[in-house]
Amino acid sequence: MQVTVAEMMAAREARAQMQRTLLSRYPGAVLVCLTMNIAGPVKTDAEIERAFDWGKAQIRAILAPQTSCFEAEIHEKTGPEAVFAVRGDAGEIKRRLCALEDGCPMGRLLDIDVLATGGEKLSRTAFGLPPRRCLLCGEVAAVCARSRAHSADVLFERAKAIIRKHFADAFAQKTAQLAQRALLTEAALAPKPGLVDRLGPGAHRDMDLFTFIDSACALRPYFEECVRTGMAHGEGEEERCFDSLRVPGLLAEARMREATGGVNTHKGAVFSMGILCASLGMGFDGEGSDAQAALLRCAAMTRTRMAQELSRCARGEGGSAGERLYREQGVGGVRAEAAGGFASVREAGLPRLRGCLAAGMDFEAAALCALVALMARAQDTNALRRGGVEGARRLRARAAQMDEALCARLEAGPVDADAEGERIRSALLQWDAELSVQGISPGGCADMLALTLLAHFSDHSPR
Amino acid sequence: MRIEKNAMAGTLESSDALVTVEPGEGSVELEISSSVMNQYGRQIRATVLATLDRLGVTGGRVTVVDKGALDCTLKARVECAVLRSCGKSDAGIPWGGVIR
Repeated sequence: MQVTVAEMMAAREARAQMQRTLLSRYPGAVLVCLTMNIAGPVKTDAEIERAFDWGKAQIRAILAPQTSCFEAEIHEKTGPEAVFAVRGDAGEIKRRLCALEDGCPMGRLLDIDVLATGGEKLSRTAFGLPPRRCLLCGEVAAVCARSRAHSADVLFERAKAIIRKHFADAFAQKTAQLAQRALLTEAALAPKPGLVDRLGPGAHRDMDLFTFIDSACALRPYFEECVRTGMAHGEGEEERCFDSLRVPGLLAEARMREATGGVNTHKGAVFSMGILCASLGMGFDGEGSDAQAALLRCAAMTRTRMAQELSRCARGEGGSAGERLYREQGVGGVRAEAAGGFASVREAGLPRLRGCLAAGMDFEAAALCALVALMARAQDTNALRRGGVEGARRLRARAAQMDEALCARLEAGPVDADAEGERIRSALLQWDAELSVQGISPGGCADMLALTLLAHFSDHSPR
Repeated sequence: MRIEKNAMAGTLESSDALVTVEPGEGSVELEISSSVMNQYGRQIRATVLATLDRLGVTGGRVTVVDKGALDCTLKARVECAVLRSCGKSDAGIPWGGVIR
């Protein structure tokens, strides 16, 4: 949809008219008008609207301390506009909004006019601020625009590139934040059988909740890097993407040990959550990424490599706990989970978490039920290592019994959500005491629970 | 064309200009301020004068507050202000139509 110069000129006059009307309707108010700085005949599309929505939200936050009189927005082909009438000091408002304009690359695309009570437009130079610079060459923007130094096409593409980068960066940061949140939430959930939680260290002697906090915070930059690595790979490059995670993964493990004083808190999470973060990145479409598809994509990313690794283990190479267990007992552990697109998360963890939430249970109880569902189905190499074949079998059987009983009650109809929460908590409290004495801790299931939480958070950011 | 009453066209937004015209006799009195005065002051003056000349405006006071408008915008704003000053309705203004 293209606009002519005449249409833009008419839109500007209409805006000025609206401003005069608002100033007379709200005497003493300051007007703030947002338009987008987009060169060329196309003034609006989905991306520009998203950038506009972002700008509007920033302005709203900055104006939050002011009393608002009026707010409206216009969406025409001449480009989106928003207008705010607020009570406050025009100069101070102008200064704050200039800080927004100058604060990041996206700010450069915002054109925020501030009109004082009398209708006069405040200029940035009056506040000792530098004039705005050209998107391309850094010359004073007004001079560059007047001379038509750059073609509108080039300027338009530059603006679009800024918007895309902004939302890609925001997605990588947000996803890494959700991964960290998933790890911290998982660690805090209580009571968990044998695992570290906020009530105590469970079966562990060398770590507690604080070790997990140290580790989860140290890993956040790694998760962001994983998302970016994913975004840099397209369809058909799943395996190459996974290969690119190897070195960052090793470095992240070193950072984890550095943060925890050598304790292995999150080695499994570095692996599985790193893959899911990258997969979410690969699925980023400019707005978001579908968690279910991302879990499935993990299979395409890892299937071949995991099969190679496991057959190497079978030949007797590799000395990690997981590798030995595969050699001795044929249990694939987290490698098999990844190669299967984290089926236990898709088929047990997430459905149980969401089913329990839908049944009205509180978040912690629902997440504990998801842990039990994961324990009922996942082959946990941590539990195997510490509890032996028999210990691991008993653990799975007990979890399966609890999970099946819960599912039966959920299917039978409405449940008493509070009573269910009470039931899972007291059962797990008892179990925790037993496993803590036996020294058994289903750490692999804890990692799958963290993955479940990340998948859930990335679909529903507020719980 | 004669400037018959005070009229205005344009805005103070960037890449635009606010043009004000007032009746007057004898000669055109032109006052220009611009955010790009140093670079484009002379060109802006020439464009405004040429536009007034083609419209046949020989007298009056014309004020231009320029915010980096392109020549085509400047021409259209001047033309519009003059047309408004002789009673043409906003709707009937042929944007850029009189002057090519």
